[in-house]
Amino acid sequence: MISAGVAGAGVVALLLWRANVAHADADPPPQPMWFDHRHHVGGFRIDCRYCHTDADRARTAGMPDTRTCVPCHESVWLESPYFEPVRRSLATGEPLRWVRAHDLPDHVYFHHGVHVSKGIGCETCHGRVDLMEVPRRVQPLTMEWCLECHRDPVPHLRPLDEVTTMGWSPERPRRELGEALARQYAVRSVTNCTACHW
Amino acid sequence: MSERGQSGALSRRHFLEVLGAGAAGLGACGRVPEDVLPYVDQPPEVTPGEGTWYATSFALDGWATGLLVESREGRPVKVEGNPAHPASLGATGILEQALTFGLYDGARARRPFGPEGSAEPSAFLAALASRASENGGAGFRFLLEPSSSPLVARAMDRVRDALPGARVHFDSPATMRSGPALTPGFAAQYDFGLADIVVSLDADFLAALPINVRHAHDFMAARDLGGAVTTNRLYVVEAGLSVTGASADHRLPVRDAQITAVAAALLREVLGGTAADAGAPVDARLPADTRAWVGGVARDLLANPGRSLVVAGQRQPAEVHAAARILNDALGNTGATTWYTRSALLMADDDEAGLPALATAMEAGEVTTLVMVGVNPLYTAPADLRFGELLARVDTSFCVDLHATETARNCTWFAPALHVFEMWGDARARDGTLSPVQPLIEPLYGGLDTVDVLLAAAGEPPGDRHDRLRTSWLEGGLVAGEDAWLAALRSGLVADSAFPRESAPPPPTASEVLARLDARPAPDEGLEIAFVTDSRVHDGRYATNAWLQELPDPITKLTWDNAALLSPATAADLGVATEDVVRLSFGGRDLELPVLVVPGHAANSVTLRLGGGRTAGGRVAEGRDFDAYRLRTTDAPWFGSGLRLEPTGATHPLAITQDHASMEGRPIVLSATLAAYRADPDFTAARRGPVPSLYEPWPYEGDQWAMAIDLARCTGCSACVIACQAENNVPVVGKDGIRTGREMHWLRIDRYFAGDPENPRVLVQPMLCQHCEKAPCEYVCPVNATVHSPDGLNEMVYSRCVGTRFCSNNCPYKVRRFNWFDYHAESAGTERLLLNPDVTVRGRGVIEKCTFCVQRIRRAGIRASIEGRTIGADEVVPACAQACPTRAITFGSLANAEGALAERLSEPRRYALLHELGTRPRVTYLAEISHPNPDLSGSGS
Repeated sequence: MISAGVAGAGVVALLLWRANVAHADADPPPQPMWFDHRHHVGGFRIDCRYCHTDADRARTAGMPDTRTCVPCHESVWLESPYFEPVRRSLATGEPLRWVRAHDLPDHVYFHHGVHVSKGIGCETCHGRVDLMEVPRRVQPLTMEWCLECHRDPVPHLRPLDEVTTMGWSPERPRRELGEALARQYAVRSVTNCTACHW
Repeated sequence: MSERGQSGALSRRHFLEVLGAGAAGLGACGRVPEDVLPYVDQPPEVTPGEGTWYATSFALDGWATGLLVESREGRPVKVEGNPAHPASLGATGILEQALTFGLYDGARARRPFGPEGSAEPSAFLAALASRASENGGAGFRFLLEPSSSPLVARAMDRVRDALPGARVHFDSPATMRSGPALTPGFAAQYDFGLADIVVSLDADFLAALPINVRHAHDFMAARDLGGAVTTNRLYVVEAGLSVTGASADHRLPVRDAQITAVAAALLREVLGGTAADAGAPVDARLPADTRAWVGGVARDLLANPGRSLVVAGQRQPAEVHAAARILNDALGNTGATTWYTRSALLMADDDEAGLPALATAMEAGEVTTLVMVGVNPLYTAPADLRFGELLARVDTSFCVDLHATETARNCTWFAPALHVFEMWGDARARDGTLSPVQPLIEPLYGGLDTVDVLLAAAGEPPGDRHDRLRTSWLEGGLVAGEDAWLAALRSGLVADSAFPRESAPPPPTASEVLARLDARPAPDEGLEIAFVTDSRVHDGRYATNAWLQELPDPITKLTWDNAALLSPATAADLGVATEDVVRLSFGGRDLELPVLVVPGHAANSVTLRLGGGRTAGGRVAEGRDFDAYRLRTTDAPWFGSGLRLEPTGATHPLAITQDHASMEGRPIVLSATLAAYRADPDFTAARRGPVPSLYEPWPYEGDQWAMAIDLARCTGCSACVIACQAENNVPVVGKDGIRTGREMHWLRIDRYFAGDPENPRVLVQPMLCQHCEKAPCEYVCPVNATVHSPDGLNEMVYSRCVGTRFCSNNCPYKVRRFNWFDYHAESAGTERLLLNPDVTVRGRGVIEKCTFCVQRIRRAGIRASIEGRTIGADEVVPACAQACPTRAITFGSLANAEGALAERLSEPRRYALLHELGTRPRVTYLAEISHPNPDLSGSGS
């Protein structure tokens, strides 16, 4: 009796947990300051890699250091109260403490560089950041979701000069274009365990 | 890292309660929000998530080895050798690999203390300066580690100027001499790569002598078993079985006191008619078979003039070194395989700078202040010096060390030392090459180095550590200018700074040497005591390092302990067995410790490894094993006769990782003599090649990863084991864990004895996951947690593993390890910084094993993919292969016809271990090839 109850509770818990992680659109996490991606990406059309400098070569996309803000904001918004966390970080040497919107489990060794350099656009995983005030997770980031693309990457590929474009739509059918790009970029379907876990 | 008995008992009922409560709460769980902290001002050389490599150097007993250290976001995590550095050539020994553990060791001293208790570093330095300023330094003494550092030499000059009365002494218990030096101020240099015949008179040059990493490389580089099919020949005369002795083609186990007689006999045989006492019979002290052995060695040496080498070990007295030198001169080896340079050590071989001279001064009451940096004489000093009593007579004593050592606890003032990865400094390699020491990290606990202390005593401000090194090099003319300074920091050495060859003072004549050798007292019938340094804890300073404590000794496979090593026959004579506690009495002092019977040990000799029985230094070091220093005296620093041994009736459990030493006639380590190999190169043919299988072939594609291990090159030194541990976050399980068979090393070295137990052949075999193409583990896993990859890896999926251990049961190589506890959960604070961020930290209840360093394979694969190319032939190097001093391990892709792996696999002596099982391992062994002297068949090993 007791074991049946425990098992039942376990199943319920598992369903709740799964519903929680797998739902696509998460609430945006609270961030330490107001940084509007709509404004910077959508408005000024600043390339993602201006701030996330390592996205096409390194494991992490790179979070901008506080100095990254300075070249533009020396002349604008410098006095704004919204800019106070940046001024404080520069003055004290304390980093800004952002909160991850896209958090993978620790046993996943995801490499941004190889995805971006094979023609996977930022938008594919991160969504229309140009339309988000605060970035939030728009994809479930489950292994099942990763594998959908790993099994058949072709329809997700873009030309390398469009990887940071938001709202990109190809002129040719995606599969037809993808097949050409897969050949060009030597894209492989990789689904073995140690492709991502070790 | 504590030793573990039963974990906290969680009853079955309690488990269910916890599970129920957890399940009820699970619905509320989501992902725990995780912060991202970017830099405020990111250094341009840093890419988060990628390593940055810095060249630095590590000095042991004064001699530098060049290193490249990987820093991850400012945190040093992995040590490799510097390929450009002459003492490393890209490889490392076990101590270098374990340096990161020492850096993050939670037992490191953090706070200075003084007579009033806890103190500030500034108070320590102020007290030092104030003591120094009294009386122009009269009565002021320093005791330092041996050093070859020009920076330290410069600071010593400042001390001499400011304090004419002060004196500097150096203490190195691991390199103490037996009597006077043969060539004071000179260092013998060897090129083992040019020697076809090597004779070692108690010289463990493959694992213990300074720059053994380079020596091991050169010695094995003389073997060409793929092309010309030639190899060198090694004769070893020694008491205890060493790594070098285990690699010998002929080994003569004799007591240390008899090595002089063997040296004399060899001298007479080689010099023959030219010796002053020509015609004198070979030393009658030696038994007939030993004389025959020496005669065979002498004929072999005479047949290879200029291409042989006789090396005497540092434990042996000057006469044996003189004999070796005269032999090398007579054989034309001097100038070819051996030569001299100036010694880079400061005050090298100056008896006034030794510890006994200091003790004499302390005894006479001439020492009022003693400043000790990086030394622990209260623990390591010979027992007859009674250093503890002498230290109590010193008014004020200062100690600087990484740990609160035995000495530190008895000093007036103590301050933490800097770890080598926190330091700016310099040192010279054995050949004189100037090597910078640059920091990888800000000092974790403040701390002082030798130069800080010397400058404080000289009344000078410490200055910026970087600036003072740079100034010292530029002003001292050690580098030509700013560009050369920066180039040295980048490359880890100053190019072309090795010392030139010089002629050392001539040796005494052969007749003088023979007279002195003959005058040494003949060994009596009783037991001899012998001391050796331990390849893992060195002189005891690394007893705080859990990686090194848990590393099985290359020969005995003993961990976490030391023991009295005896030969099987002697143990039988004395009626003692392994784990029996005996009382050793020597020179009026006693020590009780357990016996460990070692095949191949000389009869009537007891070997003790120094460095055990620490009573301070933190929980890893303290309260375990036995302190051999308590029996060591200045007149017998390495060996002496008159040892008494009596059983106590007690036993002490030992943690030994391999308790069966015989292959029982099975083909595990294949070996052949060179002659047999030349006659039948395909002698391993039955143990390789295709085998039938009922299983479907794998859909292999792309690179196919594989490894070759050359058993003719492996010495068993175990650098690979520590390298693997550091790279792959392999936990430490403690002595009880080892005793219950729960060691976690992914790579172990199996060691077998064959033949006569009194003088066996020793065979070693690195053993790791064989990455079988038909892997028995994969077929039995009920949850698909171990699977096969398209590039030929046997993958382990921790998050699927439920811990049935079926795979481990079914593995014929016994290389799978089970996490019985959450071993890493106990490491707290700085010890967490030790973990390699590229490798998953395994929790309790899962199996783990060698991955072929898949993180390095994937890193190379991704790099190649981004750059639009294929992975280069020798681009992927696993941690074990990278550390290996002798290049015994090669790694690569079977799909690539180029590179070191393809070359090794073209050799006919390759074979698959347990080939008959049809597992098709991706690890290929290359049979061991010995090169015995046909003249000596039947004698020696």
